Order: sequence, then C-alpha cells, then structure tokens
Amino acid sequence: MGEHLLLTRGEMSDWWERTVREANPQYRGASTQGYYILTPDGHGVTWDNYIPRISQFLHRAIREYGRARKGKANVTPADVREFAPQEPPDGTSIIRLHTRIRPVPEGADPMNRLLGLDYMWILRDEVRDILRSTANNSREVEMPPTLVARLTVFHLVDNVRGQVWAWRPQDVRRATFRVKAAGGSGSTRKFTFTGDFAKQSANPPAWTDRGHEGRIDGEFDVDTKTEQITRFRMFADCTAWSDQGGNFRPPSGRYKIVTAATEATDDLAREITPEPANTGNYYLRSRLNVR
Amino acid sequence: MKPLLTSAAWLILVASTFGQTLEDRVKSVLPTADEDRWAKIPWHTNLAEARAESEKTGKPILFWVMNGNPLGCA
Repeated sequence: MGEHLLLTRGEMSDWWERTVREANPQYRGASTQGYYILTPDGHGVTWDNYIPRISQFLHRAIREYGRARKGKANVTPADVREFAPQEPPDGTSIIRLHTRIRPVPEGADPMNRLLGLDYMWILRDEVRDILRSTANNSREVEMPPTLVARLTVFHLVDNVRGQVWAWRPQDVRRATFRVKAAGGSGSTRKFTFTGDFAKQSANPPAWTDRGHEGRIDGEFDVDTKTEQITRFRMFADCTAWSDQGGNFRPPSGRYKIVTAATEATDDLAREITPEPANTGNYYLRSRLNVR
Repeated sequence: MKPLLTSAAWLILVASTFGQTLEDRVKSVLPTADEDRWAKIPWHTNLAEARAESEKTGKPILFWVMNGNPLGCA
C-alpha cells in the first residue's frame, strides 16, 4: 500500500480499495482512475480506463452485471448527506472550461484528441475587488492575485487525457493579468482582461521537463447587485510540452493547446466541484510569488 | 524548400484566425453536439442516491473516477 493510502486511510478508502480489487483482481496498488460498474450495495463488478474502447466496455459490463450477485442498497439519509457534493462558497461565480490540443500532431496517442473539461470558481470577494478597483477609472488594474493563481496553477492545464499531475504555485514563472472596465448599463458592468503566463516543472523520474505558457484574452459582465459574473468569455492560446511517460502520453515536443471558458449557470455546474477544489484553501487562496 | 513550406503554413494559420472575434475563438473550442451527448444522461453526483436508484431500477451503476470524467468531476 502506498504511503498516501496509509495517511488517508479510513472507512471510505477501505471501501474503495475493496471495491477496486473486486472489479479488477489484477490491481496492484497504483492509480484507481477509470470507470467502474458497481452493484447497489457498493460492490465492484468490472472496470476499464481507456475511453476509445468505452463502447465495448459497456456491452461487456452489462453482461457481467447480469451474472453478479446484487445486495440491497440500504441507503440512509445520513449516507445521502455524506456523499453530497462539496458546495461552492456563498456567492461564487462558476466558469466552465474546455481544453483541446489543436492541432493534434500526427502519430500522437488518440487520447490527445479528447476534450478537457473542468469548472472554475471565482469568489465573490474577487469580483468585489474588481468592481472596487475599477470603480472610478478606465485604466487597467491587476486581477486579484488569488484568481490569477487559481487560473494559472489549476486551470490552464493539459487535462485532455484525464487528471493532471498537479502544478504548484512555485512552478509559475510569469503571470500578468490585467482587467479593464468596459462600460455597462443598469446594474451590469462590463470588463475586458488580458493575461500572459508561463510555468515549468520537473519531477524526475516521472518527468524532467514540463511546461505550459500562453496568452489570454477575455471579457465578462458582472451584476453589481449580486456581485456575480453573468457572462464570461475567455480564450487562452498556449504552448505546452512534457517528457512524461506512462499510459497516456502527451504529444512529443512542443504542441499547441487552447482553453476556452464560459459562464456556467446550470444546476449541474453547481454540483460539480472543480477538480482541485478538494484541496480547500490551497485552491481558493494560493498566491504566486511572481510579477 | 522547407522554409517556404513553413512560411506558407504560417500564413494559412494567420489567415484562418485573422478577424476572428473572441466569441468565434471560444466557440471553436466548445463541444460539438456529438461530444456533448453525455449531457443528456441524467447523471447522479451523489453515490448514495445512485445506489438507491440502482436498487429501485435494477440497473448497474457506472461509477466514473477521475480520468476523463464526462462531468469534469474528479
């Protein structure tokens, strides 16, 4: 068992460890990422982790589920509360991000053709800060530092093949993000923003050189009554590289990668926690030591 | 010959993005209708609720953990 599993061991992780082994008897203690078929009583039936063959997996899974023993769910109201998704902080604006490698270099793993999807939280106090700093002027002001850190560390990433090996604030070498008021009417104020960032890391032997850098353009509207973002558009034109090995390899050398973001006001967006949000204030309140 | 080809490719790239609005560039990355078909599935985000429904309907639970989660949920 890995050290991280010993450190985080509890009733939930014990259940998950057992379930993974039931679904995948060959499991030897590495990552448990993938998709699993479970019974109502929470036992594992089968699994896989390669999206290009998901259709075959689903047909196989239905056959195996038909043969599996299924117990009662016995779900209590306490279970439902325990498994409820993490709520965003009060007044948070939610942004939906989409990332693609474009163009996908010839010969690259098919996983590089997938679409990366995540959500980003923008806190009410960050929106308030922007409203306040642009209230009486039309010049550019710096974007709130916690928002710059959240965007560059956690969200401008290559997640098209799945979960990203985490970036850290100290990996960011350059991050300049500026916001400018752009008019508005009634209780709506409009803004434009630009950004420029670069980050690089090494974590041998997994990778010795990984980088992601680019330029960002965006605009957004804020309802001054709720201090929430009602419209958001962002486009990040980036270059990335990584010599990381493993099952799902990024393209070799430098490759182009783009991220686009829009506001997300649907119910699902409120239920889906941004991928790094379970790190709490590390996600919400990190700052960068760069200019 | 190679520098000419590189220049031509660059010119095509510039021409293809010149004049595009921010809205155009954002839309070019958003999911196609085919890529967005997952959104028609009534996903649960609460495993306990999914287990209760699985028992009620007799259907298996597809439990997606991290890698390429269609909801962007890890």
